[in-house]
Amino acid sequence: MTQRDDEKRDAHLLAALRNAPDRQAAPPPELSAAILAAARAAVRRDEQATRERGSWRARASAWFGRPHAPWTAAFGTLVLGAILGLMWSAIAPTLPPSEPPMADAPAPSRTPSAPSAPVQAAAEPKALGDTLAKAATPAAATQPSKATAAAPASKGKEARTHEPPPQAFGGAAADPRAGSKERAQAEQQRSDELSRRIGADAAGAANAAPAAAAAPAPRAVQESDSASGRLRQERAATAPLLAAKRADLASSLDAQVRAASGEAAWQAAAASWPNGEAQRRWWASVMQATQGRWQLQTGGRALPVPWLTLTAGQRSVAQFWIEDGALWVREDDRVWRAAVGEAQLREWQEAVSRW
Amino acid sequence: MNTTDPDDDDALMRAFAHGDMRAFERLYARHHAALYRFVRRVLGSAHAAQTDEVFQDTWLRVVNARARWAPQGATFRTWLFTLAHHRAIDVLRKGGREVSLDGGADDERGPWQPAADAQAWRDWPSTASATEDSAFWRAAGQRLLDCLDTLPAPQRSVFLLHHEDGLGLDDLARALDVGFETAKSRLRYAMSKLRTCMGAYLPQGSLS
Repeated sequence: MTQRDDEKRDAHLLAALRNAPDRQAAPPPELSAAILAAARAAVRRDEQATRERGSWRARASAWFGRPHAPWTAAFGTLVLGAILGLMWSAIAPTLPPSEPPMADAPAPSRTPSAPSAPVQAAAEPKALGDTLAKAATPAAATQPSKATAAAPASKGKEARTHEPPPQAFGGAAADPRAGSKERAQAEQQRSDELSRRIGADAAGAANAAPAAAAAPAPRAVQESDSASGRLRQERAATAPLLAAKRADLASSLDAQVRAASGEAAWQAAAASWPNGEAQRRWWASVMQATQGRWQLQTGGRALPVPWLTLTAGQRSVAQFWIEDGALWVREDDRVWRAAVGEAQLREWQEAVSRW
Repeated sequence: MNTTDPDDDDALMRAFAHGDMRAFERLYARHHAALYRFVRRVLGSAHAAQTDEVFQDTWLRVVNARARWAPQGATFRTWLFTLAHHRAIDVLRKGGREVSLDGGADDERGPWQPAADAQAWRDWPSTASATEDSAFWRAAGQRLLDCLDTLPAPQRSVFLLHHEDGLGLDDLARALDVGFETAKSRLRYAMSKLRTCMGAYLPQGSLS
């Protein structure tokens, strides 16, 4: 055989090969489908890569895919961490410490009386006893009408929209957010202001308005400040509590007595006393001893039978009782508590028993 | 692609490399049956179960290599069958079957020639009756497949590529990455052994 002979196909072998039993052999249809699907997927990947070519993702992936990727990844992580740290340090001081910004917003019902607050603050009565005594006279009752007329109506609105049910209050904890240092300080300042106004000299003018309640809060936060629905919901949930905390005890009692325009009196069990000198001294003593101790109570608990009730006309202005070494006051729909100790409480009880 | 010559495998492959899925479908339809038979015959009856695996791997290699594919002197079909050949050799190696890339000791000896008085040539049926007997040719085909099983894989591939795929010796040498003489020697030994093995299925005249 020569080389050319070897290049020739053997006709007989070729004929046998073409008539072999496997001449009709073909790949299974599912195998062909899988191969074609793989090819289509590859084409799609190419198209996707073509679309993304030139984009920042492609460039970034190509850059990070280089051999120095571990070092670049580490460097990138450090840079990202530094940026996040700087952003956090810039944002953190502006964040509210424990509650949303609504905490500093003024109560809506108090804002209309704000313009009169500076003038009235100077002539504010310093003792609730005198306030109640003056309130019994018609002249005194009409004088502060600008400052107080809106109070009952607005408070009613406030009660409808924000305040908890009247017979519900908390026992021990004053405020779920009282753990905040800032809030505690603010509460302390309000309590101090309350005590100063109620427990001071009884010779103050009788037509004073509750300046603290009328004065706007330092920072007013508008609803439009935040577009976050979640934040709005949190604000809505905390608004009643915050509004109630903003209204102090003295101004509320004063306003309700003025609105009643009737005779102030004290009641205990079946007895009743007009708001005379003994009663005013007793109240002055109470306000002095409880200065800075009043805490607004929230939550739910049944109210006990009141020990004393302050009335104006035929309307109950405030109810007092003693429990757990503290004097409790319910005025309007709010409950306040001042822990003064058993000895002080016994002294007050003895004074009342001498009325 | 409208500009692709439907008869040009290389053009179809280039079109596929540029995202033309229909070009790949044409290529597949054109070559899948022949490639499947080739793979099955190279693997032999002992490894026929792995035909699908090798066949699929071959096409997937085509798909994955589309972007860097270039004719480089060989046709797409030659490249395709070469891929299948290498993949089949890998399977045979892993299967424990001894595969010598140099075609065994036959490459070291002189050309094989059957004995002039071999029984195989004496029992060859008459051509007139055989060509009309499909049963005879089916039997001859099965005999040839059995004979192929006895060949070393490199010789089997050379014979199949030469006879079924139509590759010349130059293409065989290039596709299998061997020298021309080696390719020629492998083909010669393969054909000689097959003739001997086929025996009565071949006419005596083929001895000359």
